[in-house]
Amino acid sequence: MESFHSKFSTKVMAVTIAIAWFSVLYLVLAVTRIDPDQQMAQKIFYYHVPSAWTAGIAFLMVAVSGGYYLLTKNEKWDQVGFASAELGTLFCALVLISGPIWAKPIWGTSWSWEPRLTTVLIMFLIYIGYFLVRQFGEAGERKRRVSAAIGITAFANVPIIYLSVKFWSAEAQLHPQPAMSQQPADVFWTFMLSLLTFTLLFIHLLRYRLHVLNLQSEISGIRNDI
Amino acid sequence: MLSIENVTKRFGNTIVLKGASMNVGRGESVGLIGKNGSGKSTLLRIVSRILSCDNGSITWNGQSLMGSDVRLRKSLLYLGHEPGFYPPLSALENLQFLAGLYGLEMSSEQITEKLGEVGLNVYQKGPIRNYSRGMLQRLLLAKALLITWDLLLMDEPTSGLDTDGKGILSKVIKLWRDEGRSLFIISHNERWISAHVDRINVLENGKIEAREGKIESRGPAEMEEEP
Amino acid sequence: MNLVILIRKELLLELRSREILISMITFGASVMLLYAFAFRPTPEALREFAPGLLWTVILFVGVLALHRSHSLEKEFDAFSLLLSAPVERSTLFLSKWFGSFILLVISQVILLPIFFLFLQLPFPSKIVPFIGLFILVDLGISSAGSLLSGAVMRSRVNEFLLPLLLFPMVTPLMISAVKSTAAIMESQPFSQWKLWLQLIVSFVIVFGLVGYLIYDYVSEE
Repeated sequence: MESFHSKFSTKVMAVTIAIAWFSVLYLVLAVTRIDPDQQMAQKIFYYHVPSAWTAGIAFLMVAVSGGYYLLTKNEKWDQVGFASAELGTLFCALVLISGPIWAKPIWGTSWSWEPRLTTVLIMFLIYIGYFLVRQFGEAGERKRRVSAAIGITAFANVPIIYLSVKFWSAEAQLHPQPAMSQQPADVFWTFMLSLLTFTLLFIHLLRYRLHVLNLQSEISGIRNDI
Repeated sequence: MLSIENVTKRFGNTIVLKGASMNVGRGESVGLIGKNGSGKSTLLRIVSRILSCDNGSITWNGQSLMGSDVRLRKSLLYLGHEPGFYPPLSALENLQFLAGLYGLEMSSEQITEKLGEVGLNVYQKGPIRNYSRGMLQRLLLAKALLITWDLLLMDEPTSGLDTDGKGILSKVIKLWRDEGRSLFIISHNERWISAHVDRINVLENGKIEAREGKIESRGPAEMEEEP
Repeated sequence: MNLVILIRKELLLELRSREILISMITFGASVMLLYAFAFRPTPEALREFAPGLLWTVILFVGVLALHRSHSLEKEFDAFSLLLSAPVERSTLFLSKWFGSFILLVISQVILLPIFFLFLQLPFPSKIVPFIGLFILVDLGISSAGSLLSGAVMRSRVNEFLLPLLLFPMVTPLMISAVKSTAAIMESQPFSQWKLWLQLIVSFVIVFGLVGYLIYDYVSEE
């Protein structure tokens, strides 16, 4: 099997992401305006929000691939679900780290129970449970079925989690609510580029992870034949 | 007729069934033998839809058993290696529950009669948690006497049975064969099974092959000498 | 018809074994006793915490019932009887859902008065909405719990996997339950907590539906 990194598509993707990443970095540091209230702390927004967006896409993919696995019993869908769950949890962690980094200078406290961050925390905990089930639950086909069921259930719960936390406490509505369409051009386009970069990064990492999982599956098959 | 075609089942990295195929015709009794861990129980549990297979098809009278149409399962009855009953409930309560699931309206007297046929009517009221292995096996037999079925799937039916129990088992199997009902029996005891079926298949290396050679039919009395 | 037979079996199992209801009530009462000693603020402050404390206990107690609903199926491999029988798997889910719901409600008939007694709080004057709320939330806990309990039943560490999965999953339900309970205890008008009730109903519908559709896949061996 061809090495993942030697494929032409991989190289193109990697170069594109690198260019986009450093472009965003340059735009964030040198071009976009400094918020008069939040100063430099506001700039974390260009990484914090795309991380949350990517986590959301990842968890959606866990649910969709879970559904396809239950219908088709094709192991590839389980691999997509598992890889997406890993990446979703990773990006969740980035949100939970970048949020407090921003919050400390702005709110004076690293953590407060505001809705979006709390929703991300709850999803993070749910997917830790997902991995524990895969680790300590049964092996083989039943593991894949149960994982798919958890992935579907978790995502079905997301809107309810978000709404419940949002209405929970009016005074916890501290999270900035920027209307992107009303932002100045430098902010808007930098944000959109960052969003695109994170999405491409997710796709690239997903492809890489699927490649590794596929190799592991082939090795298991060969070992079994021997 | 039960038709099993190219059934494959994997547990983790171990492929237990590799394209296993066999039939059980109408009114036929078929045995399946094989070493411990060969996949006999797995195959039976797949037919009973307790387990799903990775590939292959299983049909009953031309209709697929792998879909979710529960009506098809009414004519199949599975007697597993484990009792498959609820320990806190009595024999009577377990069978009443079972009869209800299969849509049968049966009185306590009718169920007690079935328990009597397998020698359990004296023990019908206490929780089956206290039953011995042999008593649980007799309860399984009572289940088969209670429920109406066209194909009976039996996994190691002699397990735990004493001489009397084996006698009862042999008697009812003969009765069912005489009535023209289909049986699919799994056992590792080739001598016992050869006296109770029309033909034997062997499950080895994940595949099923017919056992060549004449099967000597022996009566229950001869089988009582078996350990 | 099968559903009635299955639910009757669930309740008969508890009647015969008498294992879980006593455990639920004893455990619940013990936790409430701890609360009474651990939290010794003024009555006004306790009133503020009471809804949260109450629902925490109910969730812990609920886990006992949910875990047991599938663990009893493993002894003697009784579950294979259900899987091989001519019964829809979705009906099995409904029986587990309503069976554990009934046990939860029965335990609360005992535990709720104990809670208000131990913490020396007045029982809410609006009994009907209070009971209605508990019934809805119990339906929510038992729907999510029955699905997840079925999913982890065959795992060797299902005792800790079930709460690990269940607690984050039911967070929106618990938030809504606490807010609604607080509103009822403060005799707030319905318009003040209508939104929370809507979230609870949404949760029950979503998890009831998801469980009904996918229990077939998690129940198979």
